[in-house]
Amino acid sequence: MRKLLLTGNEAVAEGALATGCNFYAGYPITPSSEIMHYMARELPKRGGVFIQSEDELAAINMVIGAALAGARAMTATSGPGFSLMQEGIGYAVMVEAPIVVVDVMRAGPATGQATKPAQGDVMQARWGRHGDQYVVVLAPSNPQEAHDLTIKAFAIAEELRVPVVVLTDEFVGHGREVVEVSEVAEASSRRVEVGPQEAPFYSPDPRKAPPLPPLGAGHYLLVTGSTHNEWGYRDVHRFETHFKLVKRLKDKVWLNKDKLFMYEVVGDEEPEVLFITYGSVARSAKTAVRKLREADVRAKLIRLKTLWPIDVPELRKLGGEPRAVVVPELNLGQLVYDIERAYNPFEVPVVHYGKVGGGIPIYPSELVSKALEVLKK
Amino acid sequence: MSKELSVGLVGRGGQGILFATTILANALFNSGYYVAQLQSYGAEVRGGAVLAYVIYSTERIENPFTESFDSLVMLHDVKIEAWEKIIVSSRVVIADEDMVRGPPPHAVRLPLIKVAAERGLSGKENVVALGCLAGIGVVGLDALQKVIPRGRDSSGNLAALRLGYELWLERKAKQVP
Repeated sequence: MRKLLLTGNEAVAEGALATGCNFYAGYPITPSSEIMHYMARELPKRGGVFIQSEDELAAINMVIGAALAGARAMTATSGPGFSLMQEGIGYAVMVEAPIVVVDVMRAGPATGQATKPAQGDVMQARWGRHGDQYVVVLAPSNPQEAHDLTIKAFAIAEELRVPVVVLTDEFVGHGREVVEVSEVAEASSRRVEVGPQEAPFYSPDPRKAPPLPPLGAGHYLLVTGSTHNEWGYRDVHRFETHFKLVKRLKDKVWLNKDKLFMYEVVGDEEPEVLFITYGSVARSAKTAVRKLREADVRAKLIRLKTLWPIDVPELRKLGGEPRAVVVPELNLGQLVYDIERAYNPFEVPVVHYGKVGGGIPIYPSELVSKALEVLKK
Repeated sequence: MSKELSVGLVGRGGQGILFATTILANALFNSGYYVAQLQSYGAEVRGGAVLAYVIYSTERIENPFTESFDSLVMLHDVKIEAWEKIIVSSRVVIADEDMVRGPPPHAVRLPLIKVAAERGLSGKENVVALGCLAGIGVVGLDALQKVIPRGRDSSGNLAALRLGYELWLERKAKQVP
């Protein structure tokens, strides 16, 4: 364990290296480029492969190819690049490629404000692809967690053969703080030698991914983005083949939501006001909860480390029965829709507090005022 | 919870605000503090408004977002409303007397850029600013000297540090007690 002063972006790269990432392809874009710079410098020294591709489309597809061939592969980007990568991420879902994609969110849409933070890609990270598809989305709130959740992202990607999105924002990515860096981290793997009798696209247990025989290692691995049966053969006619496939791709994520849904809870057991948020904004919410409690207002924060899948009944249990729920985000309202599934807004006010642009954070004082306003104190 | 302190630097793209803030964060980290460094700048290579800061404490930083600084050095006026609020509510403010004509009224104005140029240290006003911060007592001059990059320009950087330190001390000595 080393204690270093790192930006969130550098911490992501250190986490990836600790977990044995040995392939990176990417195209530079603010505010994610430092991840790429770090990997460009470190991967060749460690026998890994670094490629600056011609664009994000090439990057994501290189990463998928590398993952199927046995590498631990990742890429990193920001809004516009993340949009370009969506088609590839959908393909990775379909062929069950274990990849990690980091999106350092900046103010969009389009080119927006390239150097300024935002949290506008929450819905895109979950649902940016066409068709029924489930990925996992993790949201670190500081550089230490950027490191830790990148390690976790590789573990989940390998375990479930699924793309995992690490969704940070410019504050987390460019914020520079003390990080305890792991030298080596465990990451389980589905890359096992399988016999010719084992299907690479079928698992009898719906919560488990099939084993992944690496391309080129002897097993006859058919890979296609078209609907395929458990052996990888295309079947673009039958209902059963398609339904069974997409159901299994959903179930291996959805049925594991008890394990995948990660969070931190601070504050009063039975709060008057409940904050639910994620990423850099959660740090202001934590301070706001402390200040409200010092002023004898019962307050609680649920900080989500996982933005997909979300276990709504679990979230409701964690939150208790507050008089109001405040959801601060650096956007015009995205996570708040999940919170409205947990708390009926006709019974409990679910208030979104959104702000984005100019690199201006949501300050703790604003959240304290908002809480007092909704509680009519 | 131990007290967190904050130090800010403000200027224009090209003045080396981010570089100086990174040096400051490194020096405070090496002095045993937990630090959180943040910055905001535009997409321009040169000329855009830049604000960068470090919060430091003997404990992990709970929240890196601050609405005022304990100390701040300004190398240029910035016309950004949200930043002006932070600048005006900051406690000790040192501002370059030629480049900062606007607020805050309570700023101590020093000829940082002019004197740097006179001493052959043009373009090192960011390092002069760090010297001022050492003068205030934010960070040890020796801690800064240790982390300033040892490149081709290191003697210039060391001179610029010393210059800022002395400019602040001279000014302080002139103040009526």
